[in-house]
Amino acid sequence: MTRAYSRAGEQVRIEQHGDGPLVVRHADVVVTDDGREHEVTRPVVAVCTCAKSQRLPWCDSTHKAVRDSTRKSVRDSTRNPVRRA
Amino acid sequence: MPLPDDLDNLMFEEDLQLALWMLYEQSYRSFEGAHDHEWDPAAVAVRRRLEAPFEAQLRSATATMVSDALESSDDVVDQIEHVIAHAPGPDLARFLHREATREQVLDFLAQRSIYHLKESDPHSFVVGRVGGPAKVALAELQYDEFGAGRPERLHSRMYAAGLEAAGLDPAFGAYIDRTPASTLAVNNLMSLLGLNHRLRGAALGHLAAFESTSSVPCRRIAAGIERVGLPEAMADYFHEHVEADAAHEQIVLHDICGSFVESEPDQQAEVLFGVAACLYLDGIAAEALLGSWIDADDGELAS
Repeated sequence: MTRAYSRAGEQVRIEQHGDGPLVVRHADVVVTDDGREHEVTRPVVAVCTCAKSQRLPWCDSTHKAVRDSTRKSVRDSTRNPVRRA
Repeated sequence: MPLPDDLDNLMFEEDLQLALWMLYEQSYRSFEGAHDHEWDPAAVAVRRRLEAPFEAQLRSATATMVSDALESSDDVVDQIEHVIAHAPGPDLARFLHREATREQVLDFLAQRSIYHLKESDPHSFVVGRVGGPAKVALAELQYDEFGAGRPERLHSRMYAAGLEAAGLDPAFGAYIDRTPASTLAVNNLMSLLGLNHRLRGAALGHLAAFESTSSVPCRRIAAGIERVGLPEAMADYFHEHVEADAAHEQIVLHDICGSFVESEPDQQAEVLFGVAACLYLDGIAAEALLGSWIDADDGELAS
């Protein structure tokens, strides 16, 4: 389970919407499952939860491409694709 | 001052888009010594005369995108994602990533400088127009865009540094003469939405579309810049946006647009209009840019 902490003892806030990344605020360090510590250099960061990011531990939105291709293959498999202009 | 009757698609009208752009720029910082026109009643009257048909045509062009999204769900975040998933337009980032020549990448960077050298300024006008959690989240996002306390990370400054390293002119407006109407329209839309209180919902929707369609394309554009051998400083600007905009996407969808629609439910369709207008114009501008490269080659681009 990914953790995060603030050196100044600020309350770190972590949120997640649906299957999206973790949105982490007020953290100085994000600690990933393997115990490695990652410096946070932004006021708010998105931490990958799909493990497909090319910039782990940070989200690079690859989850959307993965999700879209999954949806596409599901749609293709129905042989009745919804077409839009 | 009446507009000519024979104007068809205003998004391709160079004179109209350039005039509107010059009038909007009065509210930023690009025309040194010429700021007296910002509240000149005659200039404001012309601005309103030009922006009314511009807005009307955008509303008409995006009406189906908005109504389809409204029918797809009751939740504004799902609706925004619906508009994005069904937006028309070519994949410009993919082309820049895989196929564009060095000159085409430079052309893209020069034309985009009209926006990136004043990045996030248009949406800053909206901070004072909204309240509560949406205001807090918008300020948080803008703080990151404006360098998060570090002047060297100011996005517009990073872009200027990239242009300079790539041998391009980093001065704002340097490439205005070769910026086509459709790219001016992309910029005018942001000013139209940012400078009108009644369009604050659309401005937030526009920001949602912008941030939610940025992360993956920026990764591709950075790779394209590296592929054609342009300097790292230019690629850095786009690399910066991959992680930043992945976070901004979450903030703008849920904390900005979600909170805003909760506090002002009658603005829901306006938010979607902003999303649709952004993507509609982005598509037109991308098509025009790719088309200009085909014309210049006097042949067909490889697909």
